[in-house]
Amino acid sequence: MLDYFQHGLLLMDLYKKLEILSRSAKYDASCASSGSSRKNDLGGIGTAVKSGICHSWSDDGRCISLFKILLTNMCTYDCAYCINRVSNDLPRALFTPEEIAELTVQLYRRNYIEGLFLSSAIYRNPDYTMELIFRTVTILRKKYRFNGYIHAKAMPGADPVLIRKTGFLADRMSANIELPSEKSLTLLAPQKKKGAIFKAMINIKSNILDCRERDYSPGRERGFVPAGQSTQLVIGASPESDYTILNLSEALYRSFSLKRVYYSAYVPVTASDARLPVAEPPLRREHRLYQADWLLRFYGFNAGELLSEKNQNFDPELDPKSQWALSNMYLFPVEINKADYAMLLRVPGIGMRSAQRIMKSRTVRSLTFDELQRTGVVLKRARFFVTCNGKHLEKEELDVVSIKERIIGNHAPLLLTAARNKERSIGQLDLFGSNFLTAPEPGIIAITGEL
Amino acid sequence: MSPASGSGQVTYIYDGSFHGLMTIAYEAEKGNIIPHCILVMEPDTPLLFHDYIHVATDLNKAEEVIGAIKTKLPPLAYKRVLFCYLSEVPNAPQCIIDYLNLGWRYGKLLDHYSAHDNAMPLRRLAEKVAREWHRMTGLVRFRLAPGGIYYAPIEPDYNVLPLLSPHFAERMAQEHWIIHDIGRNIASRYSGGEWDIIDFEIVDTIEYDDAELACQNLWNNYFTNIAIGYRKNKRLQKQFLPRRYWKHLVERIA
Repeated sequence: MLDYFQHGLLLMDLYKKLEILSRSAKYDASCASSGSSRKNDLGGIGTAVKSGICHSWSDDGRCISLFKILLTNMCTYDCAYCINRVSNDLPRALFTPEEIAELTVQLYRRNYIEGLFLSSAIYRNPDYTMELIFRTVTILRKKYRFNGYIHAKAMPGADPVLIRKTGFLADRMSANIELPSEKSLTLLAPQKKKGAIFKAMINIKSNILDCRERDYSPGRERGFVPAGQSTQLVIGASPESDYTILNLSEALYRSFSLKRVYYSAYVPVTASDARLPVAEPPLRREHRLYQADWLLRFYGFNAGELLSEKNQNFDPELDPKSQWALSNMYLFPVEINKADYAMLLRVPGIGMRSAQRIMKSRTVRSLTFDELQRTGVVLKRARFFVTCNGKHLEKEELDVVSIKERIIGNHAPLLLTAARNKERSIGQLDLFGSNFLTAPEPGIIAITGEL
Repeated sequence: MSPASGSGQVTYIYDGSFHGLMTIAYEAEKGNIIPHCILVMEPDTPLLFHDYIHVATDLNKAEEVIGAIKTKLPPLAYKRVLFCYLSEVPNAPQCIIDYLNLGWRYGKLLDHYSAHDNAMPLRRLAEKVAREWHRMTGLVRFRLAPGGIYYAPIEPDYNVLPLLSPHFAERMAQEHWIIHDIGRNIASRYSGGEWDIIDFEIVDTIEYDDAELACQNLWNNYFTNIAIGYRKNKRLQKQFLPRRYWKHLVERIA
């Protein structure tokens, strides 16, 4: 079982390995198990549920859906922001593919997890590491006939053939960009090459397209990463503005057809490094970026509308949609009973499901504020931007400054990682709800689905 | 079944089964009466000027109503009704009868009236049940008990066991498992492709072997180490995972 490893660390006790390698894996924000739907096959174990399922929530309030683990934290790279960099003095460990596969199935049978999220440090070289990831996924799919969810990392610089072979067994793959500019990459992650990361992402994208063109039909063979591709950006380790980051995300969604960009507030993992900030993790900033990301993907906004050269960062006090609305007051108020769907989506306090309900309900009668509230609209915010049958909820006209004050004043104290976990609530919960309990309108199914 | 006489205040009494409730729906529709109240059992002190009608469950009538819900109402109506029934809250039967009454009037257009007083309560309840069902698909924790049976105790607010069973029957097709709703003293029992729901109680404590306990330890180990200390946020954790669900988890939440 251990034949092709010659390493004393392999003899370490499983419990200890799990401790070390889960600690080393936890800074990856992604945990989604959504986007794949798969039945169990005869003699196999596991299924994949389109909406994804959360199994627990750790003390930081983040959802645990997948068993997120590194094959090893023994890295040849020295990226300043990363806990696993070669120059960091921390305990190292190494799992075998067999161990990870067995552990995954044991945890899965007890319903602790929805599947595996397998990542790794760059051990020896990208090809060697990718080979180990491929082996692990192969054992799970072939030996255990595991049909649960698998998210596997694509190692930038690894042989495209290995990445391709892995992608036909995994539900999702990701290559993390981490730093939002080439300059920061050069400064903080000298061994990481922008070119190699994008090459891996392009490789995944073209395989997805290729698979689609060959008219892959589910059931006949397994598709190539049916739940798509994602990446992660570290926020606050380098000086890029929200504007730069959001433009990058937009470009990634457009040119790589990514399913998700994850944002991870930089957490100081090193005693002192002059290149890195010592500030608290910018959780609020991360939260705003997730909100804005949501606006890009599902609400029809583009990055240039939300921020600009002049206004490069989000207001920490205000959600991006309200911020946008307050700078575009000439578009408001909108009449609830007349506005088109796209405009309803742009109203602060109106979400996708309430916009759908408004469209449906108003075909039989025009809505009053009372009924509007019943559709799930957050009137605390929406009240400043809408009329119902020409009526305003506010008695007098308010200026932008006082509206902003009222909106901020009305906010409950921020639960900082709520937006990240919104994937849970919309992607893995409400989506579920809309699948089963509210038939989505044709044509707007895509906005809640396909995460 | 004769329509209610005189007063117009009617209480229907039925056996508590889904088909029983559907039989009431049938009678209410035929008799053109909107029941004031539906009860599972006759009250000890009946109200004056009030008709109590015992409705015997009639499978044919019930199936006729179920068929009508499936064909004449929007696609999700039946699911909503069933989920609402599984909530087992006292006013659930009333919500269902009100909703169906509205449904017979508007047919396929029923979803356009989701803010209506007769539709809103049912929708709310159905969503709560759906949410708990979905949540429980993640929170069920199996323990490998002696005899090779995976055993999971649960205590959900609503009766989601019938909804959970098909999910695990497919996912854990090769195993033998029991999901035990401790509060309701029922369990779903699966083996060899079939599951059924039975009355169930556990008298002795279950002794788990070392391998099982080791696996539980590994999970606790993982659960502790995957949290980022800098981001500790117990409030958010509790918001997603309310305290009442902690009891039957394997992970120990501090």
